[in-house]
Amino acid sequence: MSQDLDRREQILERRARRLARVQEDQQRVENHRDVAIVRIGDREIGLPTQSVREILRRAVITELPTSAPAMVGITQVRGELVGVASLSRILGGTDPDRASQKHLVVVETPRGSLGLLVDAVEGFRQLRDNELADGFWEGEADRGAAIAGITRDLVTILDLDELLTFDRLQGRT
Amino acid sequence: MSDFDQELRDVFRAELSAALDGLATQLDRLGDENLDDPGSIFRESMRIAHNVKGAARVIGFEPVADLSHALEDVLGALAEVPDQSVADRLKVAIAELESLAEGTASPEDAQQWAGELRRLVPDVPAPPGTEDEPVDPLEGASESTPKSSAEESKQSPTDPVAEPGQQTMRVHVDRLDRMMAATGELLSAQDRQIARGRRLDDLANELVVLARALPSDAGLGMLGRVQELAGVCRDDREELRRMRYLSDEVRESMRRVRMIPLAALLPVWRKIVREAARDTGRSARLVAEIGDVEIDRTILDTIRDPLMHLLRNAVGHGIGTPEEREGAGKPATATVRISARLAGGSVVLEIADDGTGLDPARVVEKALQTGHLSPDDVEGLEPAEILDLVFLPGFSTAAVTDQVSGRGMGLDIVRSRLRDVGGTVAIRAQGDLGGASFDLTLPASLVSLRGLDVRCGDSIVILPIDAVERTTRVHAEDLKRVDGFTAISFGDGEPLRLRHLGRFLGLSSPGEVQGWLSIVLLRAGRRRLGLLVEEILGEGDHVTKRLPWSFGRVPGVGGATILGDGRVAPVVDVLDLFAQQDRGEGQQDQVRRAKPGRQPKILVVDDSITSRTLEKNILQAAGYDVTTGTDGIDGWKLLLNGDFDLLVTDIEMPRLDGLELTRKVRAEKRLKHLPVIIVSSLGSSSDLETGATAGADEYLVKHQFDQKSLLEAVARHVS
Repeated sequence: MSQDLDRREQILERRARRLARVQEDQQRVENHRDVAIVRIGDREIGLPTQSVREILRRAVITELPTSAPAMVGITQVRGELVGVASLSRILGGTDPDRASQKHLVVVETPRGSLGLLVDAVEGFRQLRDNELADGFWEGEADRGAAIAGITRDLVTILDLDELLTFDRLQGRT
Repeated sequence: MSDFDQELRDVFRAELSAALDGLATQLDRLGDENLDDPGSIFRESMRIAHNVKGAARVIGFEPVADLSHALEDVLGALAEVPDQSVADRLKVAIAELESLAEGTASPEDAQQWAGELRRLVPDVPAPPGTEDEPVDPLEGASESTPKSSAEESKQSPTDPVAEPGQQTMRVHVDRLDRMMAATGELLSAQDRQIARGRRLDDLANELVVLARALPSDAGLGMLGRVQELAGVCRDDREELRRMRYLSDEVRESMRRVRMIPLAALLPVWRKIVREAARDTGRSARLVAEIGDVEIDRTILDTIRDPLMHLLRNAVGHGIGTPEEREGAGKPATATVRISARLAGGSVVLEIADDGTGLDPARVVEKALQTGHLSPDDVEGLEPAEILDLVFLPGFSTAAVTDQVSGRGMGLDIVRSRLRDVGGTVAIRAQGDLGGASFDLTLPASLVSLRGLDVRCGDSIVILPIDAVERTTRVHAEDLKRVDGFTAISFGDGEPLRLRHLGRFLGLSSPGEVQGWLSIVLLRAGRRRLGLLVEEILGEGDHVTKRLPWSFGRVPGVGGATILGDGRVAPVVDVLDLFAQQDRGEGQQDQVRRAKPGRQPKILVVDDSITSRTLEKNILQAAGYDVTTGTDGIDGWKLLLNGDFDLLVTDIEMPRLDGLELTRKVRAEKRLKHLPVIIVSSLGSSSDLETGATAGADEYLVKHQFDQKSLLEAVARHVS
């Protein structure tokens, strides 16, 4: 019986701690955001670090016969199979040169892990809200749902949860 | 709701489902008029209700807690003064609890039902020893409730069957998967170590030879050391081999942990048959002949719903009403039988009933009505093909629910779900019980696979060894081209059409095959499929994994595995390959009559039937030999297996658009000079520029082009 009570106490304690941490996180997000800056071609893209799990250089990618235009192949990261997509293709461009895509950024999405091929990882930045340019786009439709913002030095910040949907990877949107 | 609360809710729902199944099993026993001790059934049921109440209270699910409390009170009273006649009303309470858990009933409903339950056994005092103790949903029973002597009441449908006194533990499947992945990685790392060990051995042996060649004093000193080194390498390799053997045992044990006995689902199946009979005014019993057959948990979870569907429909549409049955001289209570047996690495399940079976003539009649068949299609249909029609989407309607099972969409999804785990389903018009019979074949384990490793171009691909009939080597010069196919006269004298596996799967492959190649002959039932590969690398045991979410379904590929060197290799879905062959994908089926001279061959690819037919007619009338493809992937496969002089392609197509198809053509060594004409409704200047960038030679806009424009464009590129 006392074991059951102890266990119940532990569950409730964990729940309380989890609730407290959610509030702290929200507070931090309102003040600034951390992004990893990657480059595709001559374009710089900011990926929210909360979604970035790890960065690999020169992962071994196996081709898979898929019609999904954005998908390049598949790799494994410590025993986990991870799909690999070209960030350039996802954003509507083409791959200038596969050999130039040297880095794999593994991100976590609501559906699971995904590897994004990029040319380079330039570094990390902490952006305050006042560093983002207002008025760059002419309305929501112009900006697109997957763009969280753009900095004054033209780094596009992506909303990865909006961007990396199954339909988009399959070329349906 | 926070993630943690959601997680708790999900755990509770799984617990509740298991508990209600146990409760249903107990209440079923009340139907036996010769029970010795009905009070024990009520006591055990009360214990289950008490657990549910406690668990619901901890996570704040009050409606469920309230109704469970009422049920607990009533069962407690009935334990003192048993009354088997209330069993049906108690079973209704189970359904009410399910409704509350699913959110389809309100808290007000819960209060009303609780009141009705309490009135079932009026003026009963609260039974002793039922304090309101919350129970940790992750732990189960509290110590104050009476212990049960029936093991099955403690079990969820997917717990391992425990012998008396044996302890069991619930483990989240994700944890097992992670352990399995780690074990697989361990095995891979050990394989690499063993390979390095062999190399060390070789180096040590070379050093021994060198040391012997040195002048005496230096040589003797060196030789001793080197021989010692060689000995250490040998011992190290032996130790590694032993560790590998132990790791293999661990992996096998992990694989066994995932296996669930089919018998664990019996209470659920009985409940389904019972409810279906009640809902349709029929009478049915379930007979199970499944022994101790086990199946991978993931497979079981996937087929759970299809099995439920098949059982429901056997009752609802297969067995007939009691009056119909008695009129036919059959017992009023029908029999639905589920049986299982092992066949190699597969589990074969059969669901049969003793109804009237399936009338193929009625199936054909319905197919003609629904448009799934045209009158021209009927002649020449084999009986098995007729029965297979019931699996077409939207085939069955209410008008023929006495002939075919359930709603058409249901059987289509049943087949699709089984395909997802590499299984098949077929229907027999009359099984040995007299009614229709569904035969399901499933892999027993999703996790481990004995495979044939082959090389296709630069890729390594795994073929399930169960499907491989034989292999042989052949020189490219011995291959023949016959009517557009690659073929060979095989060892048994039968000609065999061959497909290059890499191209069949859509992988990048060499344009021309040359030198020595290997043929892998696959067999599925009576069907054969000959595959050309560059090299057979050997057999191996592989831990197969599902493809990542980002891929969806990949034609011909059932999963992937991680090789010893860390590379990923796709695992072929053999059934899908055969299905593609049946659909004629990548084939040229028509025998072309020889004509003087050679007509230029044109491939027209467009997903619009109208556009495709129009362009084909225009070109054929002009004397060209035209083949059509229905989308980019179809077109790509035709290009790889054919010999065309020009490609005409649309842009906006499913699976692979025309721009990507053009890029693939330009990237493929054998096709890079093939003229490509894009015919598209997209007509802006940037569209034209994109087409040119992709590599198209001409770009015609659909609403502007006419017959003359197309013919002139084609003539510019073919002679």
